[in-house]
Amino acid sequence: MRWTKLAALSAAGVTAVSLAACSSGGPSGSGGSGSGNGNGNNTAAAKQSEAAVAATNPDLKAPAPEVKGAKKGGTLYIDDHSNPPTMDPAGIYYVDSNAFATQYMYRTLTQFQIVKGKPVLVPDMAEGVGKQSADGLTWTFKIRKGLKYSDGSPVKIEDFVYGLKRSFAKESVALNGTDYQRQFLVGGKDYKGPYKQPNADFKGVTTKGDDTLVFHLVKKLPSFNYFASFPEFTPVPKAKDTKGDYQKHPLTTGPYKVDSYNIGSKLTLSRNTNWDPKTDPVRHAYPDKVQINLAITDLGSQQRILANSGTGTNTVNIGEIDASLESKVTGAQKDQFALGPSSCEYYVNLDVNKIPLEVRKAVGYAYPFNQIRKAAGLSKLNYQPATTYAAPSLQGYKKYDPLPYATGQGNGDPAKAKAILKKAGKVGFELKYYYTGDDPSAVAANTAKKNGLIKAGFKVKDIPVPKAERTKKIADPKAPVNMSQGTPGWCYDWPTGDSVYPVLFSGEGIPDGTTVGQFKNATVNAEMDKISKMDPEKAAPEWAKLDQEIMTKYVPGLPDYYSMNTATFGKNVQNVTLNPIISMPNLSQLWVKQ
Amino acid sequence: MTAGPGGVNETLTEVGQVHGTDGATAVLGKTDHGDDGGQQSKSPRQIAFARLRKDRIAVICTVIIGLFLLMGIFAPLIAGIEGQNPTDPHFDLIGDDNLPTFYTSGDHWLGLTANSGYDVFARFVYGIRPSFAIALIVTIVTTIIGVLLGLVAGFFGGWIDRVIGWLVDFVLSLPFLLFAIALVPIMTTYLVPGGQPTSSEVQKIRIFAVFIALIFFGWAGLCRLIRGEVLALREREFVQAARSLGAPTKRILFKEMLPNLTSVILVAFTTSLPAWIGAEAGLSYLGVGISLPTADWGLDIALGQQQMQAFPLPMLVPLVGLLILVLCLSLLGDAVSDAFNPNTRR
Repeated sequence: MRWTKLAALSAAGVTAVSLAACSSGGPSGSGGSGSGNGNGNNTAAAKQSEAAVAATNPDLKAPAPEVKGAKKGGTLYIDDHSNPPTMDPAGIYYVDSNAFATQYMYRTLTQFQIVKGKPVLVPDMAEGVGKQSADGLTWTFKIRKGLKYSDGSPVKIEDFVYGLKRSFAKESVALNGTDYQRQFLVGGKDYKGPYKQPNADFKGVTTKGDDTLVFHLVKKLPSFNYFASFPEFTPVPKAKDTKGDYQKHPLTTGPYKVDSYNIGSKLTLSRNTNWDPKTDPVRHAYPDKVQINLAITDLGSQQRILANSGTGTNTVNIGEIDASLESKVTGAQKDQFALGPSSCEYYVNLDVNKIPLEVRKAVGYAYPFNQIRKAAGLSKLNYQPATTYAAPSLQGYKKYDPLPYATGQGNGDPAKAKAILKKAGKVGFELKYYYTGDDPSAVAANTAKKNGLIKAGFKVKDIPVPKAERTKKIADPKAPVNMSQGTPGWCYDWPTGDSVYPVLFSGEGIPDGTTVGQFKNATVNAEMDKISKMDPEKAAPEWAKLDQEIMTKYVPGLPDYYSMNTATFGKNVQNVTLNPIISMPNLSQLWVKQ
Repeated sequence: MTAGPGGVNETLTEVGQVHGTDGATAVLGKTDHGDDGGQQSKSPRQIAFARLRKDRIAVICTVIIGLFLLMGIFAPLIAGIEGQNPTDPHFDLIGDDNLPTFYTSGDHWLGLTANSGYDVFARFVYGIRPSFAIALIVTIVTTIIGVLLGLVAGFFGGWIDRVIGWLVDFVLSLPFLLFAIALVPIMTTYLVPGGQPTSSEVQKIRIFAVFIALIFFGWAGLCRLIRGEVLALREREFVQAARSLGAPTKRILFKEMLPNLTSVILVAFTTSLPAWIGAEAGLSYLGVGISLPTADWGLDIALGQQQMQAFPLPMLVPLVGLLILVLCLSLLGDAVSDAFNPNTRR
């Protein structure tokens, strides 16, 4: 999934570990106790490594048991600093819009239930979590009876097919959407969607009777039922499709319907009376209304929430906690703050075609992680230093001894880096990269980064670009830079390796800018193909092995940090739990105290 | 600008006081005879400066401004006494929560900034440089442009006056802050050699862009003021006399009229200097002026503000500095205005 949630930090990097702090009595609250304690005893670290094991429970029965003490009524406010490019189910692929859509608006084939903090895949509109054929090339989902849209009309089986077909219309409604349906469904590579090819015979999905969907795959995807939890799988009736305008007045199947949607500022939802809780094993609809405020400033919103003033008492903020509020949410107001693992990790990309391997390792030795994170002024609550390419909540994640050039923390070792450069005859190697030039924390972080690299004997050409343009610039594979190009981070789509490694390292994503270090290697590709076809349980340790192999042999990027899943909420907002797979709170479980 | 009766009397009195005699006698009696050569009549400018010297506020402000100027000029020396550099980060003294681990110390007299750990005192001493330098240059350039265009417009009239007048109206009708914020990034994009400037190149371009923005807006007000004065002056007898004697235009403009405008210009100069210092700091504060790691008061206030509740010193030091400097410059500007224009004296 894409990484909007932490877009502000992708330029910077963040803190987690402190150095020996000398004296107490300063403004730094941690001054007295700081003693280079690493990350071992950090609560965040402990939580992050509670892996989100890929578990399923196909027999979960609807309706969901009531939340203890929960009452209906009131308005819930959700503050989101980013602005999702679309709320059309065919194009949703961002952490925030995915959560709003799947928890409130669009029901799909499968969904997640959080059991003791761990996500379990459970049925949604389908009766089970799908059945895989023996050869793994067919997936069958039986749909529940009695499902209705928000206007009261019944959900028909062909609406599912039409909804999925819309997600191929990459030129319009599916612009930023998922790509798996193109890679895995039969005919997906050539199908252009129902607008461009209204009469095309798309063979990727067929129906059987009036309640069964059959998906036909070109290659095995054991995690297909996880993919089926994406809004791309929600039904859309062809007669009601208004193409680009559909996101403003959609027919919803979830517990809420859209009252109004002002793109870029506000999405207002109210209870959908045609949603039947007896068909839904997880969701609730406690608040009467939900108002989602988009593109807000996190600091102001969090201050309002922690002051419990105005609508702040009924608000959830889903952004990373501001460093200046850290002492509040770890102290007196810690019951208004939730912290848990996420699916996201950030990287420092090093272009394998432009920077030689030895020099890439030297960058790793020199990289001043701690200075950059401090300069950016980021709260340690939001991050953990990373030493692998996959987030620890991935199934089968195995932490190996961090390689000396990929520790994800520390002040950098300029002397060691310089020695390596000298040996390779590359002293004065020029590193060129884009950074966000109109954000003070990003500028401060870049100053620290540049200093650290120059100290190690590199030349640095740092090119500032506006925040709004950076996403586009770093996705351009032909840009005249050699560092920090490609995806700044990745949040896996489901907790198995096939939604991480092939995306980042197969080279398929180079034109879209979703790779780490423009990496493409035939040996690694062959290995990934082999592992993708295995059962998830068997594949997990193989993915972990591959992680270590890429880190040891190729170093297409330095792991920077695992981001944490956080929520700050007003004192009236109850039952806040976090979902590590979608990296958001479980919005459908919230209720508001009157 | 022409002094009313009260002003004249007062001026006469003051001239008299300088000479230790009754004002009227001094002017009408002795100096006209010229029989004590050391005693000359005072020009209005000399009288004004005499007034300024007696104005306690003006003197105090001048001293303070002088100290600030010296601080800016000798910044490396002063920061050298402390042994710190404004652009050296001290990450080792920053704690877990991105705040410094101490308030002040012998090495860091006014402590460190949050996050990067820059020395607050060194940044204070250096931080006056961009503000003052930019404001001073902008004031000088805008004064020259404004005076020249004002003289030309007022003296020649006709279509020249109309064109310049239209330009002045146009510039004054643009919202300054909004325009400057928009202009700086746009200029940065267009002034780039090759389209890929590094951070240090961008820094230079931005300073240049700030100059352009401030100069673009600075000249118009003064131009309009000078034009009005010139319209009045050009009908005066001495100008008519010079004209009828066939003096060249250049001589009339610069030898006959300009000296009579000195006081207007001086007052405009002293009052606009603090305004430009404030404008530069404001632009840097809003993130379109100077950027890190360069020390600048406006920028440092913006950075310090983020941790204001936990650790206010890094914000207060440049803030108080800016406050005192702008206040002193404004008070001095008022005093200069009063000295040249007795009608406005309290």
